[in-house]
Amino acid sequence: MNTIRNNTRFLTRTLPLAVVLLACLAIAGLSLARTFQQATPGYTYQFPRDHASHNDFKTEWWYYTGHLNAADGKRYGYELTFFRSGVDDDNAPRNTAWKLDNLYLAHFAVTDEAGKRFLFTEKLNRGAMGVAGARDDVYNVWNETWLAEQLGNRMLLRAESPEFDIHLLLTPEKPPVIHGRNGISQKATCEGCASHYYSMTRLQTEGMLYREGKPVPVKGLSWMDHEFGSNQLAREQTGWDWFSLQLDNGEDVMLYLLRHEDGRIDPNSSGTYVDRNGRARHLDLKDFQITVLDRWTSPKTGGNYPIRWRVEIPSETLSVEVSPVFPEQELVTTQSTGVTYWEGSSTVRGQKKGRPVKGQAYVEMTGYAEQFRQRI
Amino acid sequence: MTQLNLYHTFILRGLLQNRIRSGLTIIGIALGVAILLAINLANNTALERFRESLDLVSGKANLEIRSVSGQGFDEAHLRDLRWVWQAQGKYTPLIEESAAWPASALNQQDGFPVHILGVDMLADAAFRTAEPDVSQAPEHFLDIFNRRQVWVAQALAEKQRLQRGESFQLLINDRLERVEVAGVISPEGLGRAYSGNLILMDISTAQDLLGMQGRISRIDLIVPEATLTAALDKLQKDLPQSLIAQRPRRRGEQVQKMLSAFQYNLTALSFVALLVGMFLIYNAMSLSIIRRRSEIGTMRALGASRRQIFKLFLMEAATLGFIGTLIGIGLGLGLANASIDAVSSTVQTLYTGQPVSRLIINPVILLTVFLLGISLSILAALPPVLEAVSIAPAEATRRASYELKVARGSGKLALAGVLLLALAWIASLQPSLGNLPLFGYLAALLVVLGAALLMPLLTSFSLRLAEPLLQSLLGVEGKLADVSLQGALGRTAVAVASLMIGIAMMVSLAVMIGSFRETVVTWVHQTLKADLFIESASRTVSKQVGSIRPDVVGQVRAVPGVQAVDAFREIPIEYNDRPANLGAGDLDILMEHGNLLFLGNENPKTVFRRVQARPSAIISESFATHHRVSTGDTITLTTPKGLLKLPVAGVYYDYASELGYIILPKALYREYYQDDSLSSLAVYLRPGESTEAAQARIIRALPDDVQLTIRTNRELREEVLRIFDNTFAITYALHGIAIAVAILGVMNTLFALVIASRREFGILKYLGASQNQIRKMVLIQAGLLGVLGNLAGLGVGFLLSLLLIYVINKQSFGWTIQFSIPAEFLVKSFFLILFTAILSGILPARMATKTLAPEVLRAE
Repeated sequence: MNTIRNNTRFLTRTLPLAVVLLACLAIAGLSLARTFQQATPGYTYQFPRDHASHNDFKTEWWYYTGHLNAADGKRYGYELTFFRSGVDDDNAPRNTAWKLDNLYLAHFAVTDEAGKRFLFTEKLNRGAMGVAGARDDVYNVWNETWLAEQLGNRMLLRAESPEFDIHLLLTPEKPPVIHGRNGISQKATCEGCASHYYSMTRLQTEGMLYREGKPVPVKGLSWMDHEFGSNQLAREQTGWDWFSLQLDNGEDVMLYLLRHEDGRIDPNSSGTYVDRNGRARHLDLKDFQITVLDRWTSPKTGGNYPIRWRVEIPSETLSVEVSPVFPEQELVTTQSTGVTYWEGSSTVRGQKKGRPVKGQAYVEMTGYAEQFRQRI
Repeated sequence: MTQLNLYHTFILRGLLQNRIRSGLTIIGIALGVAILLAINLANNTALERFRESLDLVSGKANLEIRSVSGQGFDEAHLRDLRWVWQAQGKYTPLIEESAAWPASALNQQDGFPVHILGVDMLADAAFRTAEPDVSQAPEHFLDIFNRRQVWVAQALAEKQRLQRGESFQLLINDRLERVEVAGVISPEGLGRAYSGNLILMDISTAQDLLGMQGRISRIDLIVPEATLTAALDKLQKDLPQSLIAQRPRRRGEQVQKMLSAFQYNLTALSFVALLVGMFLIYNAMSLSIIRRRSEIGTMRALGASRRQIFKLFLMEAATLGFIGTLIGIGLGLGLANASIDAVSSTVQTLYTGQPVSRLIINPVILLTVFLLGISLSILAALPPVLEAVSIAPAEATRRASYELKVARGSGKLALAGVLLLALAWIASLQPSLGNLPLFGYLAALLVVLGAALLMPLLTSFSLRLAEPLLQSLLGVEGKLADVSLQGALGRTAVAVASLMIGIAMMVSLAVMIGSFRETVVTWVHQTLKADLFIESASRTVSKQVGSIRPDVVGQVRAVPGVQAVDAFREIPIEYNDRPANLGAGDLDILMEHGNLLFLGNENPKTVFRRVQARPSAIISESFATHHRVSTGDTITLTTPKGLLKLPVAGVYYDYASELGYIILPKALYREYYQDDSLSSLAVYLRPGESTEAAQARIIRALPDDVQLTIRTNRELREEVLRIFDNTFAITYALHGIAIAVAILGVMNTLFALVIASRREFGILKYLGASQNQIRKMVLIQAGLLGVLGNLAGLGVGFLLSLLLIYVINKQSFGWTIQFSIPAEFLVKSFFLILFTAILSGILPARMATKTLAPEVLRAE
């Protein structure tokens, strides 16, 4: 294990957290005394209860991405993510509010399309003294001043950074879409290597964006992912590519590819097709093709990322090209997860049933800048 | 002839020819300068290191919140700070405590206090930097949050040979706790704080380990500078009175204020050594001028101006001063390095709990001492040089004219001396300035100078008085020795005066320390009535930490033979911006079994009745002095439950802490401070019980895991005196050096006398005096100087000790010391000094006997 090298600067850059990020990081070699529940088939969702936290599972995240049109004509992309990572508490100090039972992490990134700027802030806290938390009865997740919560049928988002703040109200156009089969989204070929995963693929968004304190009204469309599980990934998996497409014909697509060390794509990679009425259809790996059209090397980390793709779903006669608004949307999260990933606002252009179709997308790619496994 | 040529031929050659005498003078100055420098550097280092640690621990924080009512406060106050984020700020809790490294019989190592820092490991990087040693990084990040994982600063890890993964034990309150080294922090940033005597851990581990669940020591904040004043205002408005918000630097200033009395006292003492050095310069210059009166006369006759003569001799003084100061600085640096442990261990036990590892060489202090050394040398040389300038060419040929002047002027000098003594008396009546006894120091200086001015008259008087006595006791050599000293009154008086100063300093300190010790012994006997004293093992190592679990009281009370247990609680607080101690005890048990001595001889029963009649506090004498309150006044305590105004029911004598004590009845303390832990237990046994047997029964009755120190009454008394003696160790060293300087003065004077009396010796030899007789004469002179210096020193020392006891100590530390004379010590030192003085006559005596009669006569 290579943690020593990675952890040497530990407090200066705060602790590169070898904690689980997304589905990628499995805690290897750590005996879990706090037994977390596994994601097993047959899970029945109940909304809005399932928006809230599932503390029996080790890892959970709430992931918002969206595209905003400001009143002044400028376009912005945003990503606001809340993570919860349950900690093995067998050896943790008792009787103290500071007992580390969950780590709460949060990332907030804004893509300023006109300014060609990508700004990113992160948070890492424990639950003590109400600094961060996730309620398990109602949907209310927060980290310092950032929060996501249920407001009637709608959701309220709020985040601040030195440059941009957002206060957004999200109204779902479609019901939650449950990914995978039988209530679980399989991530690897092993028992329990799965998660519970659903999306709110189309959230009408309105609110305020504060640019250095100056309020600008914004409108747009957001996407929410909520996933929880305990032990999703297998050893040989090195990262994944994830796509969320919102087409202007009212249809939405989610796809993910799990990559192996040897470059092979894991057969458990899959996706979901959502029609304009919110009806979802599971896609197996064989049901779609993703072709890399271009690559980009990050000057910051040296990570070599795919940067333009052709996405084809023959069964829907969909063929589109996905390209980022600009390539520099890489997050180096030294102060929280310690993981480098790329998460970028992108545009979609192509054809559906021979007719032109447009849309917007968010793409996430992990495991290109470093060997994820080594961080654990 | 140019001035420089004159300097070469006249001064340098003179200095080189009289190598031994110049050497003695230079050594004298060097010692004075060395002590002054060493004391100041050591003091400065102790303070700077402490301040540096404060800075390192505060890190980037520009505001802090802490409690003025005891150690730590409720962590729930963190919940009220969410607005700080909105103001673009950050905040993080901190636990700063100390634990004790247990003594090890195996390594023959004493226990020592260790700083414990508990931080939020997730948020702390924004505030502080701590770098783990590359080879000692953690195996797994989450290890940091495990129950027993701690990070050890490199210095401590090396001292105790600790490596990652190894475990060790810490004494925390009354428990031994095993922790594991998660890693070693390199000595950068936080790793440098407290000279690396530091253990860092996550706040959860710290709360758990220290039993501080729900409590924190401090909140550090980083607020944008632009909004800092507004944030500070808001905090001060929002926070309860028991918490204060301030810039972290303020704490350093408070500590500095607290230390200043202690440090001023040491500096004042070190000045005395320099003063003795000044007398040596004065002495040397007088001699140099006396020896060359005829040369001066010749030079004046050849047309040298007064200015030239003046410059010439000042240059001689400056040369001596320069060389002496340079050597003194070198010596002082060495001495400071050697004494840093002594000074800092005093500062550490008394005030900061900070170990000091390396000396800081402050250039400002270096330069100040350098300039002071040279300018005081020149200043000391001024009187004889001015005298030299006033020599008329014709007058200069008469050798004894200077001595005549001194003899004639001794009346006037004595008058001036009396005047200075009167001024000293007035100064001694003045109150302190800002808790510092500045007028007391002035009075001490005036006493020394006044006594020095009295010396010529007293010396000539005593010598004349002693003349017949000496003749009858020691024969003709005695008489001749006496007469010869009378003939050189100026020099003799200076030698006696410098010896006097050295001895006076020693005597005054001895009387003060002796009186203080005697006072403490009496106080201990009168007030320590309990048969056994119990405290946590960690408190035995470090005064500042360590409580006992409350249920121990019941277990001890139930032990057969135990009549009563007075459970005492003691916490550090701040009162009017000054640290103090708050205590709470079972006053009824104390009243029935124990004893306190109250000011004004008040009956303890009267005071206790007042406390019982209505809630009130009793305070210690030093608290009363520092805060200028007395019986009947009201004190206002800031408690976690708000302000508590209490009348003072009585002021009691206490020598345990110069910060002072406020004692509350326990119920009142518990109500306002919500704290039921204990610091120490005083156990009273039934009459006739064997202390040892009871001690053994108590140990058996207590659970195995409880780590306590149980001392008998006698052991505690011995411990009190051991601490007392440690505290004053450095002052003993100081007065030893002052005596050494004074003895150098005696030797110097004797050499001068021998040289000046070469003619007389030659004639005596020619007339048939034996070598033995001449040697005897010089040794008698040495003895005479020793006796006179000793007597004068005793007298002046007595005056100074009065100043030390009733003015300087009282104003600095606020305690009453009963005057007592350490007779045995004084008698011993009298003879030791006399013996040393006579010994110092051996070299000059040998020189005198070597004077050959024909040689001298040829010179004639």
